[in-house]
Amino acid sequence: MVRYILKRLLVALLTIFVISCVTFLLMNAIPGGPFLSEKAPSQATLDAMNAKYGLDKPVPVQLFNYVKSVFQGDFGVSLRMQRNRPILDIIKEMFPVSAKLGIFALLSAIILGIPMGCVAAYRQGKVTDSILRVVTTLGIAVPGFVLAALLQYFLCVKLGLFPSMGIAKPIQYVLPVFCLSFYPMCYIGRLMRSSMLDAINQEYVRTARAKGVRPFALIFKHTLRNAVIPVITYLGPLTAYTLTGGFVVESVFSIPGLGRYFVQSILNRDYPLIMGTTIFLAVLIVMMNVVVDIAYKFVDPRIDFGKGND
Amino acid sequence: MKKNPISIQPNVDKILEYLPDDFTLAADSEKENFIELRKSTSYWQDAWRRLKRNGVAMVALGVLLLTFLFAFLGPVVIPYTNVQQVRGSENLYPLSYSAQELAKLDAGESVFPHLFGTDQFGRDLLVRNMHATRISLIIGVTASLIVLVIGTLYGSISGYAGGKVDFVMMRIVDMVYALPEILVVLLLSSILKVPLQNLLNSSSSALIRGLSQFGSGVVSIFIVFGLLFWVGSSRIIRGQILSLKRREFVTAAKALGASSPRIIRKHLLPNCIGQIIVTTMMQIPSAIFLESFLSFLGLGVSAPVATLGSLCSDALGGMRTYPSRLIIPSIILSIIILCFNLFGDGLRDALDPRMKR
Amino acid sequence: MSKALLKVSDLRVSFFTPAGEVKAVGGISYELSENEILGIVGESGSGKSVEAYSIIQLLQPPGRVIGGTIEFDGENLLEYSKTRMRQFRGDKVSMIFQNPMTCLNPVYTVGDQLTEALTCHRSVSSADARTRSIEMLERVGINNVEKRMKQYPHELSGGMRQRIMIAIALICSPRLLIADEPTTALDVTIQAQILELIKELQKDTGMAVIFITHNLGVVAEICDRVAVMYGGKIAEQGTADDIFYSPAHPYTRGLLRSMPRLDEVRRDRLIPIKGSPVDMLNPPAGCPLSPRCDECMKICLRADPSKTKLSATHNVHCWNQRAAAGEKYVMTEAR
Repeated sequence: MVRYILKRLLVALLTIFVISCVTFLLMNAIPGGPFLSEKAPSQATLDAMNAKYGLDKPVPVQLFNYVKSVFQGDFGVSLRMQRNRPILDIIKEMFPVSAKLGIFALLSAIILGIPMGCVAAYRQGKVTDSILRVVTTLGIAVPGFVLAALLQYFLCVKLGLFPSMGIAKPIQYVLPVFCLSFYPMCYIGRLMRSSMLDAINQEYVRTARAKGVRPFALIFKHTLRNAVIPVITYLGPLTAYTLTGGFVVESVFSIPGLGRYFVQSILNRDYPLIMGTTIFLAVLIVMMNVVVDIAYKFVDPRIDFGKGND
Repeated sequence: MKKNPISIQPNVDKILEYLPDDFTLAADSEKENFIELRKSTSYWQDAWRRLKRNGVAMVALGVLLLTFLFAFLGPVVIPYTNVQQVRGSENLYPLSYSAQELAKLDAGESVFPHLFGTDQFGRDLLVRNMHATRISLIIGVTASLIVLVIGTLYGSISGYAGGKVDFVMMRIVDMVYALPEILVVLLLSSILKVPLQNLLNSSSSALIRGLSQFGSGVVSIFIVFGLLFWVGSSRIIRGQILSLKRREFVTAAKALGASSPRIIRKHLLPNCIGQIIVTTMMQIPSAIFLESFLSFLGLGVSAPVATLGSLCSDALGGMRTYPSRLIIPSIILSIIILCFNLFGDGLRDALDPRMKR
Repeated sequence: MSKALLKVSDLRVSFFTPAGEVKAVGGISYELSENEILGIVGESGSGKSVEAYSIIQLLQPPGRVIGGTIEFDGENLLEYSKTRMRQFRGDKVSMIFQNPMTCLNPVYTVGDQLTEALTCHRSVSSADARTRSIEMLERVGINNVEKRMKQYPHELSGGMRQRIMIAIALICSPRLLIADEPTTALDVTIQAQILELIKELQKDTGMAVIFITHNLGVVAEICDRVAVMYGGKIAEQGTADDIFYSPAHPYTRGLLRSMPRLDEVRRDRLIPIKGSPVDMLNPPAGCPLSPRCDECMKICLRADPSKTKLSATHNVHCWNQRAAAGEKYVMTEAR
């Protein structure tokens, strides 16, 4: 078990390393390099840059230095958005807002999505199932930004039910969280429905019925526990989705989170900030995948701890 | 033994009148009447029949066909063009006319109505939406074709070669899989924008000039799809090939001396064609979605080219006064993605033999 | 013969599929006493499993019992409420299935699934349940019991899992065990062990067993009586000796001919039954076997033969036997 976790962490570190390298090299491919995107940097800036990143050194050395400083938690400083402010500092300020939004969205997606799938599976072919089917199909088809923009127009502008900007008050969380969680909720609902139907028809459920197990235990112990396994695998991509979905939702609702800031930094070509934020978000996603993988092993005893990652 | 008094089965002996030859052997021809002859249908006929029975999928297919007509035939019919700026007709609401156009109408001239209104430059939004839909569809189909080619090649080589080659190839897939794709997409499109723009402007090759019509944003989407999105379909194809290559007909082909490319082409790919079609089909909506996502953030296509995502993005600022500019492309986009998803689902049910009941 | 424990009369089961009604079981009747092993033999689709599932009402929709009675100890099981039936299942009647690989829940330990079967029906302390489970595992021939209790199904072999299934089925000491092809998915050597185990446990407990199989060899080994099913109907019924030494139905004879035997040295090839199984969506009007039968007569195509009693224990549904008996056939009964 411990060995498995260590191994998994090692792979994660490797992935982060690769991502850092790829990011750096891609950025380096920009004419003038990532740190010199301004047309005419002052001599002082150049000197500072050279001292900080050793820009006069060959690319592999620069790469080594950059990756080293990333692993030490130093992402460099912002060039345009907030001149010379350390990027880690910016992340520390902005990320909690996005994290709060993301966690609410994740939780509501799971808490609502799983029962939705179960109900649909148990009412298979009935009206409830059809309604849920329409809702979930719409949910995975309507892009997040469309949903966010339309809801903002109809609920905030037209009906004035919610304030349209910011997240100063709790009520202002409702729409952004809903927009962010709608797709994953519907996805989980569909996933849950099909895995539940799959589980209901498994032979071990028939065995349990032949044993005379009570209906409650039949659903919760024998069916749900097995059906929920695919949903757990989806939690990794779900985290990634919530983080990137945040870009759009935060932009639409003008929420001062990391997502909106990231988008703005891309539009402003603040390359060190782009690099830093990309690596930070990638680390989050990779770590979440590790957590999910480990959780997966706990839920499904069939997976061998001793063996590799297959 | 007593006869069961409540039996609903009448006593055969009472109602049956024996015929003289009843207890002689029946001829084979008589027996044959009872052996049902089932017509054998080909895989495609069978799939098509199942697809036709799926009402939702057929409606989705119909809507998709209409969308294609809208996008490709529409601009031909409408007397405005994508970039034409009608002076004096700026910022019109749907179905309304500008003062000049009203004057023309009064004078007895015919003016084609602006069904979806116009934007702040006086461009007809119906035509712009048609063009945007066209670009979105082209992007979706092209990107999924790129994925199809790379994914199928990679997956079938990996699955067919097996052993160490397969191991290495699949570890590469794992690495690519672990990359957070949207982040890489954002990164790439932000980086590629400038160099690609330069390349597109400077090059004289016909292909690149053709691409430059779409702008650098679209090209970087193609690149991203080529780099990242093939992993999913290559995994699926590999899995199929792995299970197929152990089957007897492949062994037989090998025994007859067929070359590996021939076996892949003639025996393996045709047997997983259903899977390939379904995964490709499912790529289309995700490509359209990704493009509109990028365009919405301002990273996709660049003006004057518009896609549904960039139309939404442009409309966001003036949402309070001109909601239709946002609502119309949003709805078109949602319908396209929805219909591709529904049709893809139907196609999978029809083509996937494992789903056959 | 002692008093009947299970009495099935004119049981009819249909599946209501989109393509039409499939009469999976078309009116069968038999009796089973305590301490008796009844073999139900037939090919795939003959309705033998469906018939067994309807006894403990585990039929999945669109399958439905549409007629007949199933009496257990004088009570009609078909009139039981859902709750009553649930309490009945696993307690008075248990079932074991064909594929031990998929019949145990992969995410719970053996001990967990075993004790669950007991605690569903008896209010016992967890310590008692554990003791009883360990006892039961030992009884079905599993060694290293303490360790096995903590293991997950995927860590055990097929034979071991089937033993555990048997332990689960028998932990409440049921009076009837339904075994649905319990040895089909196992290796031949393991098959023999499991058969031996079932036979032994049956002797010890005096329970009745319905043993469903398509393998006549298995039947010969453990069954007291045999019912041969074809096309959702019982073709022939009798003691094992009746069936093996004086088979009266062409289908039974066909089955026996298609089975390899050690005691017949002269024959050098097996004779398969020609044709394919009856189409249950569109069965022939007469005897279900008629299109495949070598001895098929004109009447066979037209009318379903009723029961012909050949001896106190042996009866058959075949026009040929009626013809042989001429006008003075022994006794008939509508079925």
